[in-house]
Amino acid sequence: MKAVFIPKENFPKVLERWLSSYEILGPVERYGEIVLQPLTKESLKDVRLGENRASISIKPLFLPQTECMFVYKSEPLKVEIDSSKPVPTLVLGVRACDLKAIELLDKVLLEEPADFYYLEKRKNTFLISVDCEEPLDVCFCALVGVNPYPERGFTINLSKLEGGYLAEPGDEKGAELFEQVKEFTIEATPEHFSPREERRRALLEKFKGERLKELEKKILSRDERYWEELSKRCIQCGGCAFVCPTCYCFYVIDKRMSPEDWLRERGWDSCLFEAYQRMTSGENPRKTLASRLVQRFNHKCVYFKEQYGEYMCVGCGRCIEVCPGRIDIREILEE
Amino acid sequence: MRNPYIPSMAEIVNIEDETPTIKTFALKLKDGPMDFKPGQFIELTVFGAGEAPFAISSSPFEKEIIQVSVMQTFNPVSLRKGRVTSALFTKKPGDLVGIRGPYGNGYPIEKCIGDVTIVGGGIGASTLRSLILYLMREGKCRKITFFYGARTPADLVFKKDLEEWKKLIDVHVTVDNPQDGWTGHVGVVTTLFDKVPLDFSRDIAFVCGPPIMIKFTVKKLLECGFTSDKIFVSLERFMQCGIGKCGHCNIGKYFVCKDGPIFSYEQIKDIPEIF
Amino acid sequence: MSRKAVPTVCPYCGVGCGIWLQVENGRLIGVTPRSSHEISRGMLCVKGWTSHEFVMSAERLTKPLIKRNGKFEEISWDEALKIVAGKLKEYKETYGPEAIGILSSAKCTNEENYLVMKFARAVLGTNNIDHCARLCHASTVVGLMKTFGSGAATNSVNELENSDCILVTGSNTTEEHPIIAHYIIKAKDKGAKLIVVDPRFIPLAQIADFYLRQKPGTDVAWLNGFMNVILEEGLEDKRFIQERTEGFEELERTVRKYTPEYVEKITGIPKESLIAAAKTFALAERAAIVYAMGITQHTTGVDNVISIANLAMLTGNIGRESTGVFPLRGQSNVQGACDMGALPDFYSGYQRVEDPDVRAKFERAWGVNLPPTPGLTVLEMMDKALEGKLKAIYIIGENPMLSDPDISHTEKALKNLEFLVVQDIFLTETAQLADIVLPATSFAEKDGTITNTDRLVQRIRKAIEPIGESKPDWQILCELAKEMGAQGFDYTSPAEIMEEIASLTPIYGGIDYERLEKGGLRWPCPSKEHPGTPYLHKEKFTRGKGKFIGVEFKEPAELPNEEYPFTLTTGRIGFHYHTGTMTRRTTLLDREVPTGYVEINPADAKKLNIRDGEVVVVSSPRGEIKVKAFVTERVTEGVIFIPFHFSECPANCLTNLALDPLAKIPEFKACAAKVEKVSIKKGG
Repeated sequence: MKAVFIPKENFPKVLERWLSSYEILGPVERYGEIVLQPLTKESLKDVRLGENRASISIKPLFLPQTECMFVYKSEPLKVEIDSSKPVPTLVLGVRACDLKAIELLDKVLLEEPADFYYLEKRKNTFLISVDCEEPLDVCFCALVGVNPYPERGFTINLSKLEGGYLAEPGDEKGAELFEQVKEFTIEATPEHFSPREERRRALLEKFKGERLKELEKKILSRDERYWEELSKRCIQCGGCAFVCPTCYCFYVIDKRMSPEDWLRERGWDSCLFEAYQRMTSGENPRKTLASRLVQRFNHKCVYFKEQYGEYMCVGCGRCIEVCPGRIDIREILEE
Repeated sequence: MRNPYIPSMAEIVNIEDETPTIKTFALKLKDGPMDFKPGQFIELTVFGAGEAPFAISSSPFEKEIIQVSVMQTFNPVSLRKGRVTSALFTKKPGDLVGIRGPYGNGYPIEKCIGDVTIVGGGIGASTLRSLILYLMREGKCRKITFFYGARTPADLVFKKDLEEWKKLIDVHVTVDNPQDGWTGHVGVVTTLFDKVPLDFSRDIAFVCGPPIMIKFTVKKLLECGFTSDKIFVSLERFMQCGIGKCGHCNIGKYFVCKDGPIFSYEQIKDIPEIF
Repeated sequence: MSRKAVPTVCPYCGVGCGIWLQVENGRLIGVTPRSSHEISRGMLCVKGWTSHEFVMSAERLTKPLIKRNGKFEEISWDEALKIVAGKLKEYKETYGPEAIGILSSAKCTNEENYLVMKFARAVLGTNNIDHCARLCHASTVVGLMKTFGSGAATNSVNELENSDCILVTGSNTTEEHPIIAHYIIKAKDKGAKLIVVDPRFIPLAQIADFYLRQKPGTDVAWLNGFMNVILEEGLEDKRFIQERTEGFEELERTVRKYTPEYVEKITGIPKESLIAAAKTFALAERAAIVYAMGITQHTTGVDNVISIANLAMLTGNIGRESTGVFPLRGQSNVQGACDMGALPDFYSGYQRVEDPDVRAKFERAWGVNLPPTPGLTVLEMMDKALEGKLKAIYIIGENPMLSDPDISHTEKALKNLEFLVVQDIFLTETAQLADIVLPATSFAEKDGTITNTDRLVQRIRKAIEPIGESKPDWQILCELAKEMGAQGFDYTSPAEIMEEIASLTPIYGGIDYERLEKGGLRWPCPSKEHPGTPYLHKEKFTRGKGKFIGVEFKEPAELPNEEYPFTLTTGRIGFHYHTGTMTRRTTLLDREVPTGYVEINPADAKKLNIRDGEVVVVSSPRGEIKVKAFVTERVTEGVIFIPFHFSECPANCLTNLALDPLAKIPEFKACAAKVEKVSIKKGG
């Protein structure tokens, strides 16, 4: 599978061609921020692929905030499953941290028995990633070993160069997509790759701070008093778990929609909530907020590593942006 | 592609009143026999209420009809009865429920070749019943001793079974608070160990009951010379999906629904929030 | 599959955080924060994060209802509107306009509140219009009007991050206005000093530099104490006092006797702590005061607010960035409801009903004669309903059956009405008493503007179609007005209504939908070119000079006695909102706190032999409730706290009707109560 170069002026044409067979979600500016929106022929020119990552990750595309699992009628009893397939969708502007996060989510959610709803969306969603150009203040991916440029897990990766994009295919779908637009692209040459490497090197330099090592040791070294202090700031908004691209916990509830129709719904949950592990008997192994903070950071940096061999934090910094209590995971992970 | 979240249907064929708050439901599976190990559990859906995990209390040799023993819970935080259990208690034979499973790792029955010590408290006897029925029929272990305690005589579950089992294995029963007519032992279940001396030659121990009971029983067993890799406890945590995806039962690096609910004490002894 | 994200504002509290409503196939599936929002900056509290769920609840009212033989039956909109219009007309003609009252909603948009007051005044001919601000910040409106000339927050919330000292009193900011607590925490991280004065050990007290615990209802005393210390130490801002204020001599005379020793006797605050905190406040370059219900919901509410204003003026902390007085408004649009004149004595923009020139202006604009005397406030309406003088009430988006003090009084009053119409999104406890129920839309199903606690006017936007047959409140009001034969209700969109508002309301003069596309505007915004006003009273106060008013300490109306030895204080928690109509229909929130509780100090619990989690009986001269005990050090001995969100154990069953004489706000924060074990209650 060969890489190609897409000249800048051809880029909207490439998107338009793809738009004829797929739904495309792309980053556009609305009301002062970059959000992922379905693209139309008219909005193709508004796509903003540069700068830094979006404030919301691609997690909601695979794990929506609320999701219907199935519906059932009570009289007569009948369970109905939605057999419609998700529309094949291209997602434009995915970052390296998003890709790494999806890789980590796959480890949990695709492990047998695979999460049906996640898998369906995974199969029908194709990720077109981009190299980051500028880290945000809160970005620390490089410091936890996640490079700020996509290396795997994408369908196509776009690296911005002078005059256009160097586009690499990551899988068969990528090659297929290139085939569809080959009249707009030229074959990539070493003259395209070397400036790309240069930009990537320069980008890495922008990450200030020491590489964070042995995260599990740092977390385990914090004592009770440390977590008590931290719990004075946490307001239990759930934001960190909701924005984190690797947090996947969900609650399940059966809801009545009409006298005979019921719906089983699942929705985002967070281990920081008191009732998260509270049993119907009232027993709660993690009664204090401090103990739940311990759980959150332990799961991210200690337990997940023991289970799957990697840390669960990709260094995107979204939890830092979203926290009203100003809790900064980097401080917890540093000396 | 199979969707592991969709329940299959089961019909309630019998309901047994074990105690004022515990009923045993016999469920006939519509989709065919279920292969399971003792110690595994199912996620039971009461349509119109919700889904909750319950241990299978029947023998694994009975594959067409399985039994779950359910306690009507009262939530002291919400001051309401448990949503699923109270709805389940209104069901009658012939009503349909949803089943997913079997889930969990089950008891390490392959290790049961020597002496087996089983300690149960209250509704904890539910999962132990499946184990006892299996071991008795399979016949591979040398000796089975069952210690069982409940708060009052009325709270003892499987009273009929206990009488039957006394004929085949060692059964010792105790209650915390005796009531009229109780002539048996009085005291928490660990006090039974003083009556029947245990020594480390009794190979393997299984404990299931309320967390505080497990804590003290394990302590006592260690004192009696059991090694922590030979003591197996059934951990109780809030479980929702049963397949290790929703995250709620996470403890240390384990998920109680997937890596448990049966753990050796060796596996969990260093986890700080364990009991 | 159709997806879209609609930018709007969270429907809960007065911070007004920006949210994106995530829509898929015409249904709300989630909420994400708006990272570019000037106040919330990408943060939300748990209520904001889950604000999509209640909109989609199956319990939403979808059709108009009529009560026949004690049961509700569905009817058509035509029928319902005809009945309501007919009845209102009948009462107006038979008993006069004074026999009808309207309760507007602090959750409805500015446009809707304007229409409600226009409807009341121009169509019904009555000034009997009020809303729940009466129960929360009426003291602020009166108190700050008297001292500053304007009853709103003086500065913008973001400025707090650069304050050097923040005094937080009567506000559990972390739980009730979490994003404002963020700015306070940020200021603290930057080195600011935080002073928290509250009878309860609230979360913010955990990180405060000074935590002073006063007896409930003793705020005038410690505030005067602060000022006494400041004058003693010569730390007052002499230049500011001389150039910008009047009445200083009166203030000085009054606070002279509030020495730290005297204040300690009244409030229980150790004198060393008082002195240290007061000095810190006065020495700060930029100090701000943040307050909420703990200050306003007293029979001395107006006096409390005046004392806060006195303190701010004494130390020159008005009219500069990162200083000022922040009354934290509770509802998403309670500021707007006040701004739009859903009040018995004001038209929109705080223009007085009694002022003949103002009235003439509105009469010209609306083409009708308008009633000249101010109308009844919320609780006065309940009194008059009980007396049989008020025949009909039209309640929009309010639930007095749970939020009024002494709800048995409210229940009797509402039941005594001849006609009750309730317009809401759920069948609330109040709606259950209605003769006609009209289904309205939530914030996600209509366009409009709302105004938050620091005067920022923002757009809310329609994300999904109205559920069932529900209609936006503004549409219902227009149809009702037309049914009654009124002119001037032919609006085709909220934007048109705002045009009319802007033409009649100087502080909203420059607000229009086109400008709002670029972001919020803070009033006063008198013209299209005006950029809005971040902070008030820059060169002069709205009334010219700030007025010092000396106030003396007065005790709460109902003190603990032998039979009722506890002081009961009520309030809110972070997971639920007001009467719980929205939050108790949200999975995560209901799961976290499924029912109410009473906070009781461990020493008191021990004396009464009460365990944590035990159900106890709490009673007051008004009634009794069974509620779960929560034994905690958060309350001190002799004080108990009950959140009022839960209809199965309503705290307002116990609160009393004693009102502040000027603001008419009830004393939710202090009354007498007793706690007993259930067994004793049964046996005794």
